Amino acid sequence: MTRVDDIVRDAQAAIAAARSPGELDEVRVQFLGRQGRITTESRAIGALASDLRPAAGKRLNDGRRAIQDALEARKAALSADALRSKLASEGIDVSLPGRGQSSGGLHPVTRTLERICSLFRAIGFEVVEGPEIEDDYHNFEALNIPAHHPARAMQDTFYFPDGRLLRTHTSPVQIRVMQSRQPPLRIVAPGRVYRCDSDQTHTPMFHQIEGLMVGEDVSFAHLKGILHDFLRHFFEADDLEVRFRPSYFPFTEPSAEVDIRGERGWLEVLGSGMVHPKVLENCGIDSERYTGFAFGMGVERFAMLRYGVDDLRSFFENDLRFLKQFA
Amino acid sequence: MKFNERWVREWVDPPIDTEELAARLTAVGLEVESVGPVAGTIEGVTVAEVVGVVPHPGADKLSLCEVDDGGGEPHRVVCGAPNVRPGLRAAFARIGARLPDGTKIRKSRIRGELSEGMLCSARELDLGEEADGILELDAAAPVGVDLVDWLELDDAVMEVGLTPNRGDCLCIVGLAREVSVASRVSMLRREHAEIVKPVVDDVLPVALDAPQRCPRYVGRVIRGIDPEAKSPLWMTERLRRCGVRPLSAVVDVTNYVMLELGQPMHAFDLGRLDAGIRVRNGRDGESLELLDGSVVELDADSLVIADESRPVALAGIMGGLESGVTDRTRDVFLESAWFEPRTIALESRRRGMHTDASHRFERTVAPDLQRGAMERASRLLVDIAGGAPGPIVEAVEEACIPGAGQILLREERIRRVLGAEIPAHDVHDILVRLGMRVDETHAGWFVAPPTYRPDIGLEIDLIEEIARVVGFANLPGTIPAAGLDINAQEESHVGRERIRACLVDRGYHEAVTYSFVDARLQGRISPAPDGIALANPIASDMGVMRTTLWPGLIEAALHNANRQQSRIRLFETGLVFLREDGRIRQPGMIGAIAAGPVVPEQWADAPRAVDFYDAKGDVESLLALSGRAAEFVPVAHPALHPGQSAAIVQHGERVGVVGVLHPALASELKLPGAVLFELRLDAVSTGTLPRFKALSRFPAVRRDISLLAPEPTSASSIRRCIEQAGIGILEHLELFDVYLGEGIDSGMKSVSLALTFQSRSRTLDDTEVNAALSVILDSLSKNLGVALRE
Repeated sequence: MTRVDDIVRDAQAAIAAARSPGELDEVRVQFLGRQGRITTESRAIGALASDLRPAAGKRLNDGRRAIQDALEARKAALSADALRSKLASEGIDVSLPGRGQSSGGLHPVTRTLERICSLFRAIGFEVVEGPEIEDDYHNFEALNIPAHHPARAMQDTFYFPDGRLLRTHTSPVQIRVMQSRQPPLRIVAPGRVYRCDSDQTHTPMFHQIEGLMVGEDVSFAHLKGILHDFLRHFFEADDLEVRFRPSYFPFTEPSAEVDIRGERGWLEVLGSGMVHPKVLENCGIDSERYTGFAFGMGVERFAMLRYGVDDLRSFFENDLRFLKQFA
Repeated sequence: MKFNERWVREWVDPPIDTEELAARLTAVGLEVESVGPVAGTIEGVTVAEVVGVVPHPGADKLSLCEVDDGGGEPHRVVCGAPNVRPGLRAAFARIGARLPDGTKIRKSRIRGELSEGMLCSARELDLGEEADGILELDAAAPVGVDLVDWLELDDAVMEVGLTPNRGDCLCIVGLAREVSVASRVSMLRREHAEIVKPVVDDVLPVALDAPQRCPRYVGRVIRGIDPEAKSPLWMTERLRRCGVRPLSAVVDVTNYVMLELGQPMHAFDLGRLDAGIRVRNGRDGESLELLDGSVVELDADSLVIADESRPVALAGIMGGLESGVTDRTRDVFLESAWFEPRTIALESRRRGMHTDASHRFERTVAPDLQRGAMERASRLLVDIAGGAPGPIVEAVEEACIPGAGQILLREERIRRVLGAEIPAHDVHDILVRLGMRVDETHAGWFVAPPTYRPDIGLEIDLIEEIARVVGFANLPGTIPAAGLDINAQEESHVGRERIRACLVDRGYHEAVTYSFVDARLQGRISPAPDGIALANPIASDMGVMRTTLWPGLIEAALHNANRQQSRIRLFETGLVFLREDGRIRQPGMIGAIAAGPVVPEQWADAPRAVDFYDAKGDVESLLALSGRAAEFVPVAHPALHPGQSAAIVQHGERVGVVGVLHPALASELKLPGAVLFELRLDAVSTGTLPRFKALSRFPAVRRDISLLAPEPTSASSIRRCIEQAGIGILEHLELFDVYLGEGIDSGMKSVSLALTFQSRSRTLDDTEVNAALSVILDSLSKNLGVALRE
């Protein structure tokens, strides 16, 4: 019965030669189909003598199984090939940019404001805001700056015909908070302020953050401690040199300007001081029982130092090429 | 205040160099803003005497001079100065000398005559503007001495930025007092000036008609001064170094005394005063021509110095032109007065006149300085210009002169305010060094500040003095311990950071624009065009407060469009300023502008310009932060396309607007296709807390339907109609297609909806869903004329 072996050999050759599932199926029909060679051969077994039939049947079955196994194996190989070549054809250029919107960015002043606020929030200061059109009382009188005071000439104020004004500093927010609440108080007040001044280093509008802490034992030592700590954290420089220099503000006493050491010497970054007892009394706070400190800083100055911006006016041109650098 | 170091050192001379002196002043609160030399580098210039002058044989205007510089043989020098004369002491630059401009003096021949050096003018030495003649030195100047030594040119000019409370430091003596305190070195001189005895009897009576405003007026007649007299070089040099231009002997003397002692003075031409001095309020209708040529109209707010017939000076600010001294004045009347600071401050501000005198008076001059200053000025003037002084006349209203009382300073209070223990004897020592009278008392001190420190009136003022003299650097810094109270945090409040982040993530860059805008632009684009106008705007296009964020955003967009930026996304948060029923409201807003392609130029999709629905999507994401529903209703807005603009309405209240920039405005501004929105911040920041609703365990049934609706039917009216049909099992409704065109009659549109039905208690069957659907269709048909599309 070498015929079965021949058939199997032929089938294996045909299977190996099949290049697609269709060709493979033709091979299957050719050998295992109703007219296939194995089927035809099995019909011939009936004509054999009965003692020869079992052996012939077994050979035939072995042959069929061998062909079926070969068909399966080839089929798996072909489909793996097909998948491989399909995947290969689906390759894309992964270096092309992704779809969708580009994201925008915060203005560097806001970015700086948020950073400052978050540092103070972390030590329990609350963020408070106030109006920008102010009255004389909150912007000046209550802060111990009467009409004839020389400090008024230092700040060129934008006025409205009815006597109201654009706040020249964020300090009126101090007044509004102290008028409405009793100590202990810990606030920061960010916002826009206005001075009638415009040149290379002044813009008629800029931003300040005011800070205020009032309590039963708040001292100048605390002012120094907190501001020093704040400046080191803001600039992320543990070895930052900080200098407190006596100065004068009508609403604080003692008053201090705070300088930091930059590449080209000392740079003034903050004004601060102990809240003047008259200011506390103006707001209905017992100045014998409570003391407090206040500070104010120019946000643009901080942004310039932090990000290396060299022209104050560029903050208000809103040039996208500028803004995109802070995104 | 600008001053030269050597003048101060004449009063107090600590063993520290210039740099250290500046550092000490800064440390006690007198910020030294600049330090520089008083003159350029001068080498090889000496005091010399002109011993002989003969005309130059070859030139009319030149002379041949013999100059003795003390070195033996006189030098021959060719000189062109008209004032060169025998006996004159002058600055002689010998061969090899160097002048401030770098010139090196060489032997030269001028018109054939040898010149062995140069006689220098003030300008050549960088000591003044004078270039018409050579610098004339004092007749007593020692020949042969280096000019730098003789004129003390190895001196520094310092500029201190004085805070307004320190009027006492607007003079050399005041600065010297601070140097003394800061360096612990005593003053070398006393401030009391020598008394100048009267030689003649002439007086001018003085009446104080406004004693509250001028309680002390010291006057003196000096007769017969030499109008030709020149101020000596030492004086003009000091004036120059302190930034005051020398003018004439009389004026120089008054300026010198002001710089030295801090008392502003004025000199009148006695011959032009009528009978007597009257310090009084101005009167309506009066006017006065001042020294600078300006004319002021007076009224009762003004304080004037008048004679018996008319005002002759604006008190404490500037003298009158008519009564001022001239180069012919022989008889002068000197004034040294104390004016109430508020009067001078308000008047000088009202007049926009800021003078050296008003600057000092409004910062308060010591009220007992006037007589001493008069004596000092008399001495100087008589020495320089001769003349016979009359007796001093002093009119005074003591009751109106502010006096310093005693201040109680508590040791405990120092500790509380400074958070530092300052030893009691240090406190005492500092106060004494500051010129205070100090009496110890239980738990502290009674302190009487000196008259030149009118800024000290409270305990806290004394504590500040102690702090600054101890030195801020020497005071401790500690982190306060505070109660760990939690600050309230409203969960339903959406913070400004989150709101900004939303737009940033959606591609917007934040802008910060000025709060004052161009009234014309705002008038075009705001429905509330009447912005609150500033009385003193800094520029005409920054004249009114914004009523909307759009003018600034439009300007910013234009700025970028003009710089080749094709895709613009800008937003801003900030206040707008509205006048409502006579009151001013300042609500916070968030606004944005978008122009150009929806996404930056890229490879994947066809470019599409931003449109209404992009902006609306941004608005909806903002509103989603608060979780509060809003409706979009067509609106007429001056800045927006009439068919592509919507008011944003929450609970019946308009909280914002969104739309396409009006095409007419867009083409005028050259900003085509821009889309804008603006929302009240509180509409976004005031949110709600989530409220959980149980999930249904039963399957949902979805039915898609297509409707045929008259074209003007809005999506929101269809939605509202369906919602109002009251179908409890209608879980969700989504509009997924709108179609006009082929297959649809004109005037109609096809609208496709996905309806999701679900029950919380059972699985829905077809009958129930069909029934619900037919209720919905009936309602649509009845109310909107909308039918199911067959």
